[in-house]
Amino acid sequence: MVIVMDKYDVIVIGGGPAGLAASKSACKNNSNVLLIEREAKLGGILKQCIHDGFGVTRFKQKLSGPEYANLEIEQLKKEKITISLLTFVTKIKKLESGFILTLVNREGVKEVFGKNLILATGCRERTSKQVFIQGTNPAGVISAGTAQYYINILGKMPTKKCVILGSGDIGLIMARRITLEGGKVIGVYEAKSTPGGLTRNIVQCLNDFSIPLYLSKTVTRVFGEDRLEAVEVCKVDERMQPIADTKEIIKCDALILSVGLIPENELAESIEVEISKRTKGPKVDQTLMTSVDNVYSCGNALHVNDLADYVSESGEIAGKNAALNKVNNRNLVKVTVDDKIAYVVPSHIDTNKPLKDIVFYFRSKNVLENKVLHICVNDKQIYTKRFNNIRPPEMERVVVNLGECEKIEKIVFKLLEVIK
Amino acid sequence: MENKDIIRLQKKISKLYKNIKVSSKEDCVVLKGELDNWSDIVNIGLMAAATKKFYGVINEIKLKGYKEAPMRISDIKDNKYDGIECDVLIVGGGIIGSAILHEFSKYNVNAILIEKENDLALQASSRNDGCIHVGIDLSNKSKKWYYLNRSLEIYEKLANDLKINYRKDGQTIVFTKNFQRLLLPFLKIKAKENNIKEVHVLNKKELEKLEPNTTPYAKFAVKFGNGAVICPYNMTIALAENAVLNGGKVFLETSLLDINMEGDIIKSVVTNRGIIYPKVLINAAGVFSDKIAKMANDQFFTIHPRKGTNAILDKKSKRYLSNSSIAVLGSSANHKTSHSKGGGVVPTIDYNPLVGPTAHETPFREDFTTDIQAINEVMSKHVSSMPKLSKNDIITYFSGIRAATYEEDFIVQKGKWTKNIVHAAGIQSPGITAAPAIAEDIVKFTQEVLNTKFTKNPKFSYKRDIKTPLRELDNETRNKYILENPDYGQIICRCEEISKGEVIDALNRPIPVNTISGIKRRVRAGMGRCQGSFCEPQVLKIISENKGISLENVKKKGNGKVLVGDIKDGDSNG
Repeated sequence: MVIVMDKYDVIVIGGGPAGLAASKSACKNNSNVLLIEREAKLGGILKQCIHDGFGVTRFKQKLSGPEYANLEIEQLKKEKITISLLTFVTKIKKLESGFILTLVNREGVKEVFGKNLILATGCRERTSKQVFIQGTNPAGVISAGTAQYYINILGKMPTKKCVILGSGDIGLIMARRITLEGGKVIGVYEAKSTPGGLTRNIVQCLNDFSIPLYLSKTVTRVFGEDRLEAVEVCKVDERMQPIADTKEIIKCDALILSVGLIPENELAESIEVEISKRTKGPKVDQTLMTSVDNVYSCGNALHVNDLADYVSESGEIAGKNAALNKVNNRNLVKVTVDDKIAYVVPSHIDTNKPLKDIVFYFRSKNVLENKVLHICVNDKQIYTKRFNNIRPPEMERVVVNLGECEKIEKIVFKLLEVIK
Repeated sequence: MENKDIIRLQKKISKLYKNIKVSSKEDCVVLKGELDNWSDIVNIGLMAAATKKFYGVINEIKLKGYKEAPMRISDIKDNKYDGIECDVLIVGGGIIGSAILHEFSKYNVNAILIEKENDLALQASSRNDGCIHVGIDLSNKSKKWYYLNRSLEIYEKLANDLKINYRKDGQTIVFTKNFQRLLLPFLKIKAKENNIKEVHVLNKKELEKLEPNTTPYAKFAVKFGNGAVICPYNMTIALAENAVLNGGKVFLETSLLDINMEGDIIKSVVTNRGIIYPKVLINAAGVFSDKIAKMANDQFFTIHPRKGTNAILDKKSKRYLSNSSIAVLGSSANHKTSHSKGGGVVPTIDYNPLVGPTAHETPFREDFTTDIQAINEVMSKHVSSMPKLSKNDIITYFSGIRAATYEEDFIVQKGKWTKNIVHAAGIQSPGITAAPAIAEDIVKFTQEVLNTKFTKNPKFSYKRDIKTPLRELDNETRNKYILENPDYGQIICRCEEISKGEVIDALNRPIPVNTISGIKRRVRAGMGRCQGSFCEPQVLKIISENKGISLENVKKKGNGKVLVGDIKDGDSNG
């Protein structure tokens, strides 16, 4: 039996905000696109984010997650695009001319061919064992995203009285959500000395509901055989190590974890895409092409974002570039950063690709005040921007024109003091 | 035993510890008293066993201020099994009990296995490294070696018959000092004495080719080609399921509470679900096997629980995945007398690197907690064999309790005083390996107790209606399954690629299960790097739909429910 394989210019893996935007922009640029989503509905994690605050940049209005997703989906449906739901990619095979993907869904197993791939596979949550919480292994230790699914999708409570570890945005949002649904949040504990989430979430989710935030304190142990009965919290020293004599036992029925997100790049790694140690996402150039030609990465698979709007933006960039599909000889120059900056995306610039108006995202390592971002090309300063306040949880975005630079050999991002 | 052995031991112990009374019970030694320190109590037991003058050590020394935690038992109280009579009643649903039930199911014997938990293999049988050992560290006079040696003859076929993966990767001991070559002749003699085949000495080059990720300080290595890995809990479940298909019975959530004796005969066994009347009681109760023996007036040994912790790493961390189980000589045995394997880095049957275990004495028989010291210990210990090991790649860790006796050997025998009990007790490493051979002997001893010869069960078959995990199939076969049942095409566990259909199948196997952890162990949904963050709600929904249990009543494990109730009705703007 000869099976004629479906062929696409661009295959997008993941139907969250990054994949939706990538599919749309690839379609708009005249590509034949297949969008693959493993769940029954498009929208990714937005489906369960019923709080508002989405879309301020992209749609100039405050939307809930599902509203934001629906706007994206409506726009996408105007394009001519093939969507495959409840479909899982089990394998990617790299050929000279493109990629063969093995797909599994309720109809069976099939292979499809794509000239370009966009990986919009999102991220996953770090687990209790990955932050080395010890003790028993009871029910009631769950990630904030899982708790959010139970409450917002299933309409069920996973806790009556809980401790939240980690002040990342999902942790803060879940603190408010659990409180609104009649649960008690004893406190949000954060091992770092500064909060992990956006300032607006600290104010609107904790302060407005009188939920205490404990900094430099972490959960070290859980108790309870079958269901969680208590947690042990400890102060931590400057190296984030628990201080033994500060142990405190708190009775509760759940520990909700918001201790970091990890980009999901198992498929990327299977085709030997180089992964950055800093972002845990692929190393990319300004077109968001990874180290493997014709493979693009966007959204939270590329690096963890704090705003869906930026996720969509990166999807759009990847989609457009995948559609234009021009791979010349690549000449990659690494973007280096000083010790105050945690990372910059894109991590590389391809000098053989368009250099006009490049969108850079970066995060600082620590909370900083009154700094100036200097971008130097070949040791020549080409861009500056002042930041009065810069915090690791809040990603910064700058658009820089490198089109005027001659023969780029070195690009450096620095955060320097404001000279008065 | 002579009285002077007791006096000699008393003198020896009195030099070190005050107020310890040594006495005898026939040819066994009984130790009594109270001490502040658990390790001292264990040490005295080991001293008594080391004399080799006694049939067994009954260590009744109490730990000051410690009230022994009661055995975890089921909350259920009913009469479901009250008045049932049977030929044999097996206590304990670990790999030993399950292998025994399986062996009995080959004969016309009415056999029942009781397990106090709501699933099989929840204790030591799932809390180990899954190694099929070759026995280089064992004395060929020990029962450990005897049963291991017999099991190795039959294991691979048994596993294949039961559709359980058995992978013969081999086990490699790496040597980092040239002078250790002097050990080689002794090792070869030992291997010959212990009937170990496929022993290969590897020079540095050969080792580097075979195990490129091991330590650069390696000088040479010895590989035991017959070493293998298996999934210990799925082997346990497979044995029990196949036994049930052949007529054996498994009663879950059934705890032995008491034994009614009449002279030296067990008359009946009291459980939380009624009184059961067996002709023979089989003691396969793991860490509680000495307690069962005591209830049956047949205690001639004592269990001193020994805790071990293992860490499991992400299977994608290829930079230290080995092609066989690896240990570096000299880095292992932290336990003085090295009664259990020193451990190493094991590629599990599912290709996750497993690192461990530790070995620490504890008075707690069911303490499965972990602590950071143990994690640090296993990681730092095994960095010597795999220098690139990183804590960052750990996805989970767990502890188990070994049921060690002071003799540090298995007890596989008929009762000493009680006529109708047979013990399969004190089973620790290499218990997973030894289980099938132990089961053969238990059946033999039971026939002796009953003074009969069992007739063969003519309907016995190894048939097990279980599918190969779909992710392991070629596209064509997988497609065929999906066309028959679309649920096989709906992936719900993204890390381990498990379909909805496979979860539903696991819910409906011969020994039913309805916990999230039960599903996790059977099909691996939730075993991967996200540890169930994504698939737990999906599995919960499938259990609820297929078992007619409300969402709130689905349990993770034991009695631990995942959800506590509904959200508030109606409006909220959170």
